Amino acid sequence: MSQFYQVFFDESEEHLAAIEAILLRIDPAAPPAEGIAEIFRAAHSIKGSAATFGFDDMATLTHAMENLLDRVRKGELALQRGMVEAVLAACDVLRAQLDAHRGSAGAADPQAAAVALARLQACGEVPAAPPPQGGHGDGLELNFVLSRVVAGSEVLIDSLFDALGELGEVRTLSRPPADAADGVWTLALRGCAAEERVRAALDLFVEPGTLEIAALAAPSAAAAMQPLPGEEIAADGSYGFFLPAPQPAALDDVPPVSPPASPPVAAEEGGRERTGTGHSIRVGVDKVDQMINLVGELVITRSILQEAANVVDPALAERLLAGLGLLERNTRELQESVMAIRMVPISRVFSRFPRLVRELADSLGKEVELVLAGEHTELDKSVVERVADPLTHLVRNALDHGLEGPQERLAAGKAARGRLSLSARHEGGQIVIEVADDGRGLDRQRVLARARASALPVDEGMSDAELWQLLFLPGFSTAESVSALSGRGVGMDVVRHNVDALGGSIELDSVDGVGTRVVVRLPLTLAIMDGMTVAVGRETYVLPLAQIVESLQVDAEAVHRIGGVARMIRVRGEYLPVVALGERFAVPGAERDWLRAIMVLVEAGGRRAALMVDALLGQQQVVIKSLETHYRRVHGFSAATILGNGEVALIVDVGALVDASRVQAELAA
Amino acid sequence: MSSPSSPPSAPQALPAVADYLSFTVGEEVYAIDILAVREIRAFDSATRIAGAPAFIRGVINLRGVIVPVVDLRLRFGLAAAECTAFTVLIVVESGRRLAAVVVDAVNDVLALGEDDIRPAPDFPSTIGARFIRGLATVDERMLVVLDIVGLMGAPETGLGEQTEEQP
Repeated sequence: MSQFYQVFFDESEEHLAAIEAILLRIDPAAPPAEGIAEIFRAAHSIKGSAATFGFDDMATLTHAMENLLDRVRKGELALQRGMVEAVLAACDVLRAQLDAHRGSAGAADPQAAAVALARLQACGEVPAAPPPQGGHGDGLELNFVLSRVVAGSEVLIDSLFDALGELGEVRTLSRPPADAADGVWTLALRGCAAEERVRAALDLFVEPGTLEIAALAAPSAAAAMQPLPGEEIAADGSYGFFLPAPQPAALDDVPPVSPPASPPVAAEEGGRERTGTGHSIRVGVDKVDQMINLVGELVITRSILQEAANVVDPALAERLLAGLGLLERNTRELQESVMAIRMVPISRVFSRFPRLVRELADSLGKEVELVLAGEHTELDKSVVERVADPLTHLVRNALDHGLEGPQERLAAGKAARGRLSLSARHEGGQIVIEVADDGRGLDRQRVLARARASALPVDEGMSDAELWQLLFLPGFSTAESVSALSGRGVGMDVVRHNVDALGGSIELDSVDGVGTRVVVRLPLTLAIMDGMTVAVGRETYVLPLAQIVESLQVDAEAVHRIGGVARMIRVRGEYLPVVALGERFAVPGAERDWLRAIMVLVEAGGRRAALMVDALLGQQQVVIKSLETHYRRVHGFSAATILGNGEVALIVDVGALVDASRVQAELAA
Repeated sequence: MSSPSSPPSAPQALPAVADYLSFTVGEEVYAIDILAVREIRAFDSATRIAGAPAFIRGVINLRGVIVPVVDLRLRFGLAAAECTAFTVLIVVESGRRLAAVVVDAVNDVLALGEDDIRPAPDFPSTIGARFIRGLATVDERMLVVLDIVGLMGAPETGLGEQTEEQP
């Protein structure tokens, strides 16, 4: 039983700490509903387990606390400073009782408990009073026209919201279109601000004489939390002495058994996460990274051992090899679990879009329905952080260029409301993120015209896929109007650059009049990668496996010369520029004969090239080590890794080489 | 007499006497603040980095971290830079960054007083006069006291972020 006691002590301590933390931050004038609910749940948990373990003194006190908070939570009572103090005082008593039960302190003072209990009950006795003069418990509806100066500036509008935000919770019910400076704004202000204060706050922003304030029609849970008169009575603990002493009957209400980990109320509240306590611990990212580094070291150490064991006769060292096999499995599992710590759901990024889409759609005068799917798909924290910008860009693009206005959509026989969907899913070792709209799609002719205007080599016979690739070229934009959102020609190329930098790929798919879909594929993590080790001269390099299409040897017919110099190879009808790694990296003793070397076909950013290497050494999972930590970025390499023999090998930045090869080929042509 | 260009990682207020590590590069003897020295290890090989200047020997694996190797002999413009059994790496720490420095041999740890270090006369040198904190004479030999942290952090050494892309 004692170990259960220990759990109870620990949990109660956590709950008490949580209650105090919330109470201390709470502003009685505008208490957050979830904060109250959380205190209530914590008190409820303590009560349940205290009753289970027979700590009646604690159960009695928490029961009173719970009763009080329940009424606040339901809006029957308004929170006031006196209550906060009463609950805090009760917490102190509870802690003393907890220590007493734990045996770490002397018996708790029953007098103090009685006082605390009486004080809690006293708070509950205070009858609900009518709202104070000028206050509107249900909130206010504000109608006004912005003054001319403010209307044109988002910054000023923001500060208006800030000013109102200090008085209560603000919600925009309707706002005029961006171009209508004298349109009427309608805001809802929840809270208990007096009308005069609202007027004073808005005075600077609003066109004189246009502000109308009315009580909000719909009441809300928050509405009941108005400050009440008689606060000074409740705040004074002595008042409680005249109330009846603690009723033993109160205990009868205590449910006999209530598992502390799952207060039933938590479920009612939609299973809201508890802050800081319970089932998770917060750990600094640096600690996790340190762990990942160590596991990476372990993986390397393992491969060093493996390499050493390879020279041993398997018949003689059967146990050694079996042990190594086991070590490999354990290391891999350990690695996976450590990596899993860093995994966060993509909802971290997706969650910003509903608001962004709504605001953009409003300012563009479009109607858009945003559909999110697969928000719980997990990927590495560092990837999540870096995918936000490209995704935002894609969403803006879709809203700005993809989706049509309601008129145009109706004319095209579509619903007035456009649909923008964002989805994420796992596919193999990658995460696939799709941004799709049912807008006008890409206009082939316009892309062609734009390409010709930019003197790009295009012809009518190009496939759609080839044509869409042009959109990823720097400075290429088909937007008719340069809007503030996008269309300045710094669009898709930046997106592709960002995605490439993450080791991912991007595809664009579009049907005229039906919609556009952009598919972004990203690695789940930036810490580990499947690589192909290749030999060039006496040096070893790593190519990212994800970017390798195939590898082959070419015969003389396949080699194409320009100006007497071999520059390209032809593989199944496709001409590919060749990057001889030996030459590019000035490796002494590297193979120069194209017919004897190995051509590794790679693809990056939708373009292909062949990398010429001496030999393929093998596939392996490599731990990615930044070159920048102690050195710097090096062109042509994305990072480094440590091989089984403990030596450093550089990871080739395929994207950069492919780009460079294209430039060379074009210069030569 | 301390160099005003000492980065914040250098000791804030120099004590009157501090320990220095002396080492040989070619025929010359240098000394660096021992507080900047993280460790000394044998040098076997480094992974060459294509396109890096010649004095960057490459990168090594220092217990799982990738650390650049700067050959001070080449950095100082000495023609010969043979690697012998005495060739060692001094791993220096500047701020949060590490760099390994190749020198011909490590000599000694010396205590030098503030007064022992005399300002160096102005002379053009590949090291850059601003990284010479001064000269000291120990046992009739001249020591060049280097600001190793400043030298490693200098843009022309090319270890930092300030020179993002290779030309």
